[in-house]
Amino acid sequence: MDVLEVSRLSIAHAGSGAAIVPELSFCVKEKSCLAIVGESGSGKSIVCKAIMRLNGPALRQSGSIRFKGTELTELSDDRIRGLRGAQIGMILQNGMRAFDPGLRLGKQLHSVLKAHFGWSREQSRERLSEAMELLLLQSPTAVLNRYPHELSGGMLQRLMIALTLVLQPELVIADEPTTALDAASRQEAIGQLISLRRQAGCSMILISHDLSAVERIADEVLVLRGGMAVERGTAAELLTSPRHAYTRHLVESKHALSGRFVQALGGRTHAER
Amino acid sequence: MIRYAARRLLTAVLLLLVISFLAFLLQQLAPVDPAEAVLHAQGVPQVTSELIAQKKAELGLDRPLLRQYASWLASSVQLDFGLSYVTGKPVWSLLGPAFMHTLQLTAVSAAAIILLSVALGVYCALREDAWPDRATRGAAFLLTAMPPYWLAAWLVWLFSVKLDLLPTSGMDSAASFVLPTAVLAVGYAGVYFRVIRSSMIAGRNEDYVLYGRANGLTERAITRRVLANSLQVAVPMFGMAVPILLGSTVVVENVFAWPGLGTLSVKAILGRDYPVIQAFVLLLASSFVVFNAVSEVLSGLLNPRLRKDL
Repeated sequence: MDVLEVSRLSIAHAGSGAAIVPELSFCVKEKSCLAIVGESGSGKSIVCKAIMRLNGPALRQSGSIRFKGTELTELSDDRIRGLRGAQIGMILQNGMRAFDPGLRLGKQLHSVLKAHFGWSREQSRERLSEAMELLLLQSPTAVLNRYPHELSGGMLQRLMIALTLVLQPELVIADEPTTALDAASRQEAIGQLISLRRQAGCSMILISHDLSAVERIADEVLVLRGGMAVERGTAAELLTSPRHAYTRHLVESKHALSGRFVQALGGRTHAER
Repeated sequence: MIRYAARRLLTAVLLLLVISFLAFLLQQLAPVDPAEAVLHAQGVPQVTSELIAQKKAELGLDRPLLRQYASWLASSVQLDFGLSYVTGKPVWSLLGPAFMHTLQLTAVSAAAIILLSVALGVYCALREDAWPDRATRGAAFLLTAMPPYWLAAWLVWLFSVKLDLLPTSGMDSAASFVLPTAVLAVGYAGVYFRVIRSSMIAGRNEDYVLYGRANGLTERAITRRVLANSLQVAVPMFGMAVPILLGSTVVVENVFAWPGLGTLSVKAILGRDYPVIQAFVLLLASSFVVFNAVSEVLSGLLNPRLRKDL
């Protein structure tokens, strides 16, 4: 069963009519994770925003987006809003910028939970604390009393994951969730996303050009270039034996990069340690 | 937050001391000898050098500069700024009522400016580049480009002469406030609403807005948050508008015969009435410092990041 079926989706600038995504079809299987891979400008984020109708009037989209059998493009704005967060969740790239700088985090997260479930502040706090403990976040109450600028990007990222865990959406879209993090936090974030999938039992779309994250989290991969799917397949086969030249280029540059990294650290590889 | 506010207020007090010293020096730099000027003001027919020396001793002008400053400051704090050179009356008896009149006009205008700027800023930001936004910006451009005295004359002609709804001048009733306030508000709000508009438009592209939407928050809730963050830019601007208004109501006060600071200060400058000018400068500078401190405390309330740095 597919949770999400996108067919013949096309996205263009409303003014000039220039196509960003000429035509794209893909689906996300229930409880599986699809990675959308590609360089910046390949249209990954715009495709995911199109699913949640978040692109704004400057872009025009057409095609069909079916979520659990419902055609999303036909829903009213209010119905779509009710779906956002509760049924289709999103995790953004930069935790530092994903929260309102002027409000305490607990208050921001509570406003989301109140909008969907009508919870009181205590209920929200309780459920968020539970989720944060599951994600091994220390002293949840203190964290919820903080302002965004008082926490690190990695912490804020985990808070987004904790909120998603409380909201329990069917589908989570993670937009470059590891890109803005340092190496240590990146490994942690990958672990958190894996445990989010396990705890919430949700399907996921992972947008990334971090192939090591894709390798560990995703089941299937879609390679996007200029808004077109150039290759798709299971994560294992695509990352080990890419068929398309572009995918090969992506995989090779990842290997070259990690090779240089190992060299810079003194030339010791995994095997030698 | 309390520590932040306390620090801001302490800085304000230090700044006030520096300003008061500069205002005090103004009299020392004036080409008129204060003792002589006071004698003239008191109507002494024949000013002799003995009389001047006597007056100097009486006023304490023969003491060291810092001692003079200290006693001047002590009496200034009690609103005793000496006697006007021109009328011979205590300065505060002239300045006090004028200040209160201008303060009333300024308070009403500032409220109108803030309401108008925020309302128009939000209205236009939500309709970016649609016709209501363009029309508002166009009208605001025309109105702010008009010289205030000219706008004032048009408003008087329309509302007082033609329609006979409002008084042409003076300060007799609440209706007297309408036209001067309108002229002042149009000039300032026409500029300020653009600041709010553009910072809201920029704010709408922030990631937290996208994340709020992606989490199903309503547009109304999101607009409220964007506005709160835009006000961080606007609060210092509004805070400074009050003292700027206090010091620049001259034109409007003269057109509408408003018995305020603008009218008084022009008279004092033309008459070289140094004690009045000195007190006026001190009053205006103090209100700058006070409103600056107030707006900094307000900014701290709106922006938690500020509280740490300062």
